[in-house]
Amino acid sequence: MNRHDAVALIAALLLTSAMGQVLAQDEPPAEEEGGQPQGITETQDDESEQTTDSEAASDDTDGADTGDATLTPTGPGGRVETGPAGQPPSGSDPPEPPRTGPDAWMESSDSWATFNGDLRAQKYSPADQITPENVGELEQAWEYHTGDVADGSDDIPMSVWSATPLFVNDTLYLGTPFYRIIALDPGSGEEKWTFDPEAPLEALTQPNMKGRGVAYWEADEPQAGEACQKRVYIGTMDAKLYGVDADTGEPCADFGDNGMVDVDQWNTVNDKWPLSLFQPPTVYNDTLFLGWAGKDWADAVAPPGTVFALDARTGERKWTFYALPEEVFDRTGTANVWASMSLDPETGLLYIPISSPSPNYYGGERTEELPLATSVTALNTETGEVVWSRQLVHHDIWDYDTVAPPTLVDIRKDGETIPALVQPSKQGFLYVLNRETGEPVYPIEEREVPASDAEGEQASPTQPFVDIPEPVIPDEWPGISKIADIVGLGECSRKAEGLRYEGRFTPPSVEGTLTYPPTTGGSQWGGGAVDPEKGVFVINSNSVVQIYRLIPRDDYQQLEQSGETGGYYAQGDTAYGFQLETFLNWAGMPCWKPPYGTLAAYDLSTGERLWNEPFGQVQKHGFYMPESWGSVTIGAPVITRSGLIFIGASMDSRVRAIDLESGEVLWKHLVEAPAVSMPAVYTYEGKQYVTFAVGGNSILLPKVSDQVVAFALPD
Amino acid sequence: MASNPRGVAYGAWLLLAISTISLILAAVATFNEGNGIAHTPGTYLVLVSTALMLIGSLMLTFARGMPRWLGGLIAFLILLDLLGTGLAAYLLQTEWLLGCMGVGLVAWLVHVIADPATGKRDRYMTQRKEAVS
Repeated sequence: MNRHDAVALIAALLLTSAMGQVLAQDEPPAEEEGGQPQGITETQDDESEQTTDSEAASDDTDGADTGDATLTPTGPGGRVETGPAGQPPSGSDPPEPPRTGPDAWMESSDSWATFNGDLRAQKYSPADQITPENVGELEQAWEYHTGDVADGSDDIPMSVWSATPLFVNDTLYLGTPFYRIIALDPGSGEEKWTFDPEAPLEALTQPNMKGRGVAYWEADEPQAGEACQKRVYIGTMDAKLYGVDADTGEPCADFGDNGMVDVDQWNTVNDKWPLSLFQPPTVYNDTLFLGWAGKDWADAVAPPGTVFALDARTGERKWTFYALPEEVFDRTGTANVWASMSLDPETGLLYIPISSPSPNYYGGERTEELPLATSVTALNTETGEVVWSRQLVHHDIWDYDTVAPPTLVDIRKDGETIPALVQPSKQGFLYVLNRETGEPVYPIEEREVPASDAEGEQASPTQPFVDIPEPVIPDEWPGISKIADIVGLGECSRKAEGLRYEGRFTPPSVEGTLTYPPTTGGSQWGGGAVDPEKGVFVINSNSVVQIYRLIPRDDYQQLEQSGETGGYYAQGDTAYGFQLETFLNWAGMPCWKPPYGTLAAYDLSTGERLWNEPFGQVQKHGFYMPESWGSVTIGAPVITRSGLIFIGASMDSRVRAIDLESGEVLWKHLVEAPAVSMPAVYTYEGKQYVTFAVGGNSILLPKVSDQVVAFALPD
Repeated sequence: MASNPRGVAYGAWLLLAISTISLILAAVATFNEGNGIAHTPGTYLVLVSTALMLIGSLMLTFARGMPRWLGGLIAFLILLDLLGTGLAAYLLQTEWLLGCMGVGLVAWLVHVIADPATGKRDRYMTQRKEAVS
């Protein structure tokens, strides 16, 4: 035992709940927001086609659909419904390629115009003013507070702010967790304008006030003096989508009903709750692509997952993609797209990460194959048709939502350039696929997995496994932490002995299943970043152990009557309720060995992992645990051409700059809460800025903030 | 234990100074917003522990008439306080407070090795030694 270990041991003994709060998810799995398999397109042949002329917008300004819809089967089990502004599927096999070409305004190397920096979700900036050599001189350029923050102590639920700031149109745009839009001067942080939709601040679907920011659009040839040639969009928890002028913040009258589209008008099946719009839309070719969030732990029958394509000017619906076949709507739902998407502007293909069907942890009522659930799927942006789809988990009963946008990058491998994508996952696998065909670049192998012993459940006999690139977490769970076991007087060992564990994909069980990785990942919604020139992919990940326990319905009813709802999920009226419990001892310490979070880099041309380092520090009661333990993270890295990684994400409320080559931390700075959003890297008036929205997330710590902070080199 | 029975208690005075500075540093850590640890149980813990250290140091410095066993007990408790606060300061990443605990340990050693003994028992023992000699 070295000095560091000794200190760690003493710290662990003294801090009775050093990690417990961090990992004990007593609230619903807050990042799980539902989804939907299989696509469908509904066509209205008599409606207008998409145009690039705003004058061609429909007179129906409220965005509501009229006329009969046409449903077109697409993909394995999906459908597309074409809307008033849409173009019906051609019916050809394979689907005709969509119109291609990037939007010019999005191609500036100085900007950070989308949630992931660009449509390809590379999270890469060509900025090179800040280098590994001078990053130590980085200092705070300005700071701004939005005022939109809640710690949950009053009527407003706790805020969870994961918004990427956007820099475009010489302005920094922010969307707050109270669904306001704020425009700032990117060099000084001075406020230009704000827009307040006066959205209800209630936990209608998720337990917290969540927001991931705004999206931006501008016309190909903006007309000077005309309003709304450039627009900013924000969605709300009650399913309203607002579009405002990017220069003034005034609502765009021609967008929906005086600047608002009620997306819930299309929530017509199992509409138990609104389609919450936390994730800003993906914008391409004058179209907004919109997924939604809900809750897939409370009900079995829930709104089926959909993706909407809306006209960016009018808000009219072009098409709706359904990921589940209609036959299962009376037994399941979700399989929606709640994370961000990526899009290849050269081919016009939209890549959507589709989540698991409801309920999360029991599939006895949905035993048929649902091939688009828990998949990565490519859609034709013009029609919504499925071009290809790859299911990443069969019959998902672990809540392994496909959770992050695939990163699109060309890989140079064996002398060839392959148009590829890298799909991170909660399972910890990195799926590297040809993004034009969906075929694996590195092998994906179907392997036998354990059977379920729960009555009515029919777990898939095989699941897809990936060995290259090496998974972000180990194949086997890390084993019992001696420190936690000693502090718990053997509690961890005793508890583990009574649990079922047969490796990955061990199904949930009545006796309790030790699950690794659980729903908290692996990798989370932020996904990874890539340096497209070096072919290096970087991703943060979590190593967490949770216990999945099915509770027979009769017993669950008794639990409900006793009021013990923390960590318990009803799962509708299926045969089992569910308990989700993080594997902790009495003192709240993790029963498994650290590290709890790492940051890793991969060479995509070989699949080799270049380095894998514990990242961040656990902080509890103010105390920082050893760096070798790492931290559970929520957020994502960005990469700059100069060879730097910028990332917040960790529990210790620090933002860091890391050397891309070695993984060494070169700079860090304390902020007010965990910076769970990815930063924006941009160049304004010749100066490079790195700007973080610091919001916090109750999954990490009950610590919130409304801070926006920009860093730059001194003049 | 004490080698200069009639001299100045340099160790106790140094401990008093260090514990005073430590209390101030702990208060800054507790109430200075934006340092990443303000208003956390950890900082309140060191605030209390440094306050207790100050009380103990005051007793060692000024309550010279206390029984010897009490002086020894207070010195022992101050040692535990120094070690515990030092560990807490390390985990809170408050380098200045950690440094103070290091200096405090030196002061504690000076007190144990070189400070005049306290208490009635010490005076009695001194008289006996003088009588014997």
